[in-house]
Amino acid sequence: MHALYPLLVSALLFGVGIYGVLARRNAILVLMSVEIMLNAANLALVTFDVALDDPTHAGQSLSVFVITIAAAEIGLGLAIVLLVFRLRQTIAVDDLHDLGEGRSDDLTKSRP
Amino acid sequence: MTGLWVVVGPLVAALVGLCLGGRGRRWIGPVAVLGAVAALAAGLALAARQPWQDPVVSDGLRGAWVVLPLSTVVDGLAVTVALMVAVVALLVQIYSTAYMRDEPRYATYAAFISLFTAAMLAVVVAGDLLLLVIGWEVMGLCSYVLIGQNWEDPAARAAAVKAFLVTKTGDVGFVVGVIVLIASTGSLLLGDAVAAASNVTSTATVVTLLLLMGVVGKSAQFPLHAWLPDAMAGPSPVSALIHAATMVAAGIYVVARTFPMWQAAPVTLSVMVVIACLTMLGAALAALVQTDLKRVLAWSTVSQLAYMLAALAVGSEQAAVFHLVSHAFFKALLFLCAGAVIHSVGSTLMSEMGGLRRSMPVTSATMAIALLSLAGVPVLSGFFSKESVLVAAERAAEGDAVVGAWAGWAVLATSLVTIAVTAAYATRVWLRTFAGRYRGGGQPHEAPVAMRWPLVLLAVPAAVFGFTGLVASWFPTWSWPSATTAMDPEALPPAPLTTVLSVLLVAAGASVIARRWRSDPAGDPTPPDGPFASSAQSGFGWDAVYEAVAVRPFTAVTGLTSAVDDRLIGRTVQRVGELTNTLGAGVQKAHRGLVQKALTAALTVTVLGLVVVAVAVST
Repeated sequence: MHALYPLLVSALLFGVGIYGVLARRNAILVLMSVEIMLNAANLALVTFDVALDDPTHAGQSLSVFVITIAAAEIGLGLAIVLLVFRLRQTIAVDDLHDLGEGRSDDLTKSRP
Repeated sequence: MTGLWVVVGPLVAALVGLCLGGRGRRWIGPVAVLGAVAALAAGLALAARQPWQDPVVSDGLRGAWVVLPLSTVVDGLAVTVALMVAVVALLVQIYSTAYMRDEPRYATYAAFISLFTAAMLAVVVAGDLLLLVIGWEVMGLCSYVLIGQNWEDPAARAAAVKAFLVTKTGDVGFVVGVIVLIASTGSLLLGDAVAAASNVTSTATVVTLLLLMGVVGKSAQFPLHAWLPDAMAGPSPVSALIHAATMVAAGIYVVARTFPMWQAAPVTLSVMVVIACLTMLGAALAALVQTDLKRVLAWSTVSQLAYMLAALAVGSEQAAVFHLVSHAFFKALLFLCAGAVIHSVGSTLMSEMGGLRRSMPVTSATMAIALLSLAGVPVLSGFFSKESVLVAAERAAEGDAVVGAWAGWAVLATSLVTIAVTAAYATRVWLRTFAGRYRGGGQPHEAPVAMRWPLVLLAVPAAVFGFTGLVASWFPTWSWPSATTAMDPEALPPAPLTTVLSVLLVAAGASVIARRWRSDPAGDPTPPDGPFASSAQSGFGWDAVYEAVAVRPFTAVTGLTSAVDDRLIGRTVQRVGELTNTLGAGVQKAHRGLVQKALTAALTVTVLGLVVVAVAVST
């Protein structure tokens, strides 16, 4: 099989992930989009591993690392989202801009 | 025994007094008086131990770790002046216990009087230039504090600042002169440095001209004289101390101390002659028309100090020191009497006095002795000391001095004219204050005991001290500084011609005033109106010269500095700050906490950048 097909799938997956991260308001969906991007990267790594016939299989090894990190990251990310929801009753990322400048009036609005 | 012992008493009293502060009010007076007593006792002990002609030079203080190069010279000159200082300081302290009894800041006042005395004694016994400069500068500080004693009064504050600034102006020259002296002779010891400088005319001229600036400032001579009349804003005992024992005496004393060096510099001596003649007559004329009792005495001090400077200029430090000591006694007495009068009348203006002879018999009797002595009436001490200056001038006129015959004639003529003016203003003070009818509104009373006794005690030397100059083995030998030159036994006794002339001039000056007074006993014999009198009353407008030469350029420079600081530096800093804030506010708008927007922007920029790079690489 030509390496172009899996790379094309990988690129599509990455584009979907980027769209999700940039456009979705729900924090859980944003996290899921991040996972999609990571998996797109994994797919690309494995594809190159096979295509280049790497004797050390660095691509496969690296994708195992990425899967591990992604699991840890989603665990932490979901915990943060849970806490944010408990504190604010919302997980819309547009409303979570307390660290920004110049919109202090929104701070009180988003508080319960 | 080192000469520093005379300094210890008043210095300890000053430190104790400053530490006591407002506490232990009962102890302040006794501590201050004891300090002065200790100085007097140490002075007498030094006097008893010294064989008169040999100076005793001691090396300073050597401890296990420190060597303080405070060496001293104790010889006849130092001991004589030290005893005079100690006597006047003691009587001033006793007098102050009564005069300043109700004063809330009596503690600091007494402590600073003690410190003033200690500094003057340090100058007197100084054997090295370091100790000399230390004492000299501490005196400047003390005069500032004491003149500003009543600092609630704006006039007192202004007078204190003026005294400090004017004397410091001279002190700049003094300190530079001392540095040049040390640098050119390589010696810190007074005797060695003076001896080395005396051999080189150029060094001696430069050093003495610089030192003369300090002397002119401290001894209130033209052109740095104007601080002294204003210094009358201080309490009367302070005036007595400044005008008699300390401060103004220091300038004359330092010249007498380093006299061989001055004799080697004829240029400096010529300058001194001019200064002395101008000051002598000008100050006496200013004294003639003052309406304030203490200002008359202040101008008279300036005039009398010019006699001493003139004596030094025409080559007789014996006459200068003789007049210095005799003047110290009668001028201290005059100021203490004036203090008693002011204490009793409640005003310093002579227009509110008069007729006090009846209500204040002791004060008026002692004041009469002091005024007669000041005027130079025969057999009182002022007569003999002034005669000694005239004798010195007469000798210089005969070509007997370094400076030349013209100086002798100039000093002789000016002194004789000034004698008549002095007699006139002394008579006027007496007639306006003690004779005639009381013009004030209060109830004048005799001074309390602690103020009366110092007057009586000071009246004794003010009257009879002059006789000590007649016998060669008395004052001339006691006060002779060292064996470098032979003492002249004929320097001090009066000469017949000058005696006759000065007695006639005293009589003339006094009778003019007395006649004018008799025609109108309630009025002023020399009314301060008319163009000359009003100009003389303000010291011939010399303050305007200070204003033009020093004050206005200085304020212009400070104004310019302040403007540059404010407009140029200050505003630049402010503008830079404002610019940073504006830029920051612009950038701030992009930071709104919206992560997704920020990421979108970052991605867009990255992609566009990559496209640009790709296009650039491919073409």
